[in-house]
Amino acid sequence: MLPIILLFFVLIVLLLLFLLHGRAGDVKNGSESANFYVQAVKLIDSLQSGETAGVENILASIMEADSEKKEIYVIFGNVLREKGYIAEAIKVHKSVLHRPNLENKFKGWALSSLAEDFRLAGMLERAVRTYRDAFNLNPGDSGLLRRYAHLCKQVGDYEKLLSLMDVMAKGKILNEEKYRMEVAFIYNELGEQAAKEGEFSKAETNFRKALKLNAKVYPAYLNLAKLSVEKGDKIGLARKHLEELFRQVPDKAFLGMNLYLRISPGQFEELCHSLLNRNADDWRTRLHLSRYYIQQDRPDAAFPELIKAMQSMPHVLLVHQEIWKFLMQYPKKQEYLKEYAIQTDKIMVFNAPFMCVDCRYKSSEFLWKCPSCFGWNTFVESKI
Amino acid sequence: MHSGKKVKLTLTPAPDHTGVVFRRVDLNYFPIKADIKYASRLSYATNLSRNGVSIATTEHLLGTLIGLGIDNVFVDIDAEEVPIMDGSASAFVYLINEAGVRHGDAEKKVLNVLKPVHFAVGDRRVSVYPAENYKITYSIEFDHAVVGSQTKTIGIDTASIFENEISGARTFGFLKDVEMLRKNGLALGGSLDNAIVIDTDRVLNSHLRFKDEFVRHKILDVMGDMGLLGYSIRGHVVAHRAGHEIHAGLAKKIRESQAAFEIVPLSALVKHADARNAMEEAAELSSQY
Repeated sequence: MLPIILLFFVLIVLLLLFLLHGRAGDVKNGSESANFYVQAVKLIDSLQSGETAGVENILASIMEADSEKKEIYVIFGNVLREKGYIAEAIKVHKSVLHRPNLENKFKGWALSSLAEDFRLAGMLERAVRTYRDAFNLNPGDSGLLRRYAHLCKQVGDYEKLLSLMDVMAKGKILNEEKYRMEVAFIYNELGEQAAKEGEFSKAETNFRKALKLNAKVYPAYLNLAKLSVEKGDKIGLARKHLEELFRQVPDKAFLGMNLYLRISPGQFEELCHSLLNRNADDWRTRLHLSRYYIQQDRPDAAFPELIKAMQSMPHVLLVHQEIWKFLMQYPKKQEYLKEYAIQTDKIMVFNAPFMCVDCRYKSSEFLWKCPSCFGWNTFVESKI
Repeated sequence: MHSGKKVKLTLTPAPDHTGVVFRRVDLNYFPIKADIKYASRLSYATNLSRNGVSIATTEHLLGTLIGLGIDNVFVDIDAEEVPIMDGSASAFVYLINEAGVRHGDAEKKVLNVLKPVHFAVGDRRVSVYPAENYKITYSIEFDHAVVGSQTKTIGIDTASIFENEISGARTFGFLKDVEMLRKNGLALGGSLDNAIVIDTDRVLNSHLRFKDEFVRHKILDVMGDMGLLGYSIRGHVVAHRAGHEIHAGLAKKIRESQAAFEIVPLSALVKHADARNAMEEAAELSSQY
C-alpha cells in the first residue's frame, strides 16, 4: 500500500507545482496551458476519488501534448510498474534517462524509479546497482533513501544499510529514537551473519554494539547467550545475558526461557514466578511453567497455569494445543476436561492474532522480523 | 522463493533440436531436459528431477519460453530452484527481449492435437481438443470472497498476447497456507513482492494487476506444464480447478496416446489452414453465385 500512496502523493505534489508553473506562463502560451490545466484537474479528481483506472490515459494525453514534460514520463512509468507492466515501465524510464542535459536531481529521481522497476521485477542485482547510482546523484531524496534502505533489508546488505541510516539521520529523515532502534537491529543482523560464518568475536562485538545503542533489542541478548553456550560452554555468562533480557525486556522473556531451562533448571521455577509477579497476564511464562510442571509430573500445579494462560490469551491456538496435549497425557482426570469446557464457553477464539502494524501481515506466532515488509519489531498482538 | 537463497540463472543459446535443457552449473552442468518424464513433486510447483538432481519451480520460465516461441535453450542455473522474480513471468519476458532471440535453421515444429485427451481427479480436470491455434480456457473456483470463480479463454497466437495478457499475472497464495509453508521451511524467500497474498477477507498487496489476475496466472502455469511435452501446442486446453499435478497428468496422458497427436512442422499446419480457408472461400463464392 505504502509505495502506491507515496507514488500518488508525489504525483499530486508535482501536478500542483506544474499547475502553478502553468498559470504563470499563461500569457505566453494560453491554450496549451489551459489544456494542461484541464488534464491535471481530471487527474487530481480521479486520484482523490480513488479511481486509478484511467490515470495512465490522462498521463499519456499530457505527454502527447507536450513531450518536454519529462517528469510526467517518469510518473507514467511508475504507474505502469504498479499496474504490473514492468517491461513497459523499464522502457519508459530508460527512454527518459536517454534525454540530453538532465539535471542530476532529476536523473537521480528517474534512476530510482528504474531501480524500483528492477526491484519489483525481482532483478535485485540490477536494482542494487541502479539505486546506488541514483543515490550518488540525488543523496538528499528521502523517498529514494527509504526505498533504497528497504532493498538493502531485502537483500541483506546491512553494511550499506548502516551508511544509509546515517545519511537519513543527518538529513532528519529518521528521528533519533527510530534511528537507534533500526541501527541496533542492523548490528544484531550483522552479528547473526558473522556467527553463521563462524566469526564469533565479530559477532559478539556486533551484538554488544546493538545493545549499547538500544538496551531493548531483545534478540541480541538471546544471540549473546547462544554464543556463550556454543562458543565455549560459558554457562554462567549465558545465564547473565538471559537474566539481563528478562530484566530489560520482561515481555519478551519467553524467547529465552527454553535456553534458560536448559542451562539453569534449578532457578527456572523461581524465574517464572518472579516474571508472573510482575505481570500476571504473561501467558507465555505460564505455558513455560506448566510445561515444566508436567515434566516433573505435577499435573495439579500445571493445569491452573494452563487455564490462566487461556484466560489471558484465549484466541491463541497454541494455548489450546497445550491444554489438549495435557488432557491427552492425563486422560483419567475428568475434572480437568470439565473445567476446560466451562472456561472455553466464556471465550471467543481467533486464529492469527499477531499482526505487523506496517503491512498487516498476520501470523499465528510472534515474529520480531516481518517476513513480508522486512520491518523489525512491527508485530503486535491483536486483542479481543 | 522456497529456499530464500540467491540464484544465478543464465539463458544460453542452444543448437536446433536441443529443446529446453536445464543445466546445474553447481553440479558440473548436469543436464535435465524439460520433459514430462522428469516431472516430480508437483504440489506447489513443477519440479524436474533426474538421477537425484532436481530443478524446482520451473513452470513460469517454461511458460515464458513457450509464450515467446523459444524452442531451444540451455537454462544454466547454480541452485536447485528457478528464481521467483516477482511471482510472474514479466521479468523473464523483459530479460529475454532485452537479450534478443536468434532464429535457428531448422523448421519450427508443433504438437498438433488430433483427438481429445482428458485427465481428471475428482472434479479437478483438464482436457485438450483439436484446434487451429494454441488456445487455453481456464476456470478456477475458490470458496473465498476475493478469488471466487473466474474463467478466461485466450488464444496464445503471438508473443505480444502472451506478454500483455498473461506474463504479468502473479502467483497467489492464501495467508494461512503461506504460514504453513514457512513452518515447513518453504516460501522462505516469499513476500508481498513476489506473490499475491490473500487473507480471510482481502488481498494484502496494494492492488491486483488484472481483475482476473488469479486465473491468468493459472494459464501461465498450465502453459509451463504443457511445455514439458517439448513443443508448442496446436490445440485447445480446457482446465477446471486444476493444478500442477493435473496439468502434468494430462501431459503424460497425451505423451502415451500416440494416436492423439502428431509432431509436424508449423508450416505444414499453416498450409493446411490456408488450404482450408481457400476451400471455404471457394465454397462461399460458389454459393454466392
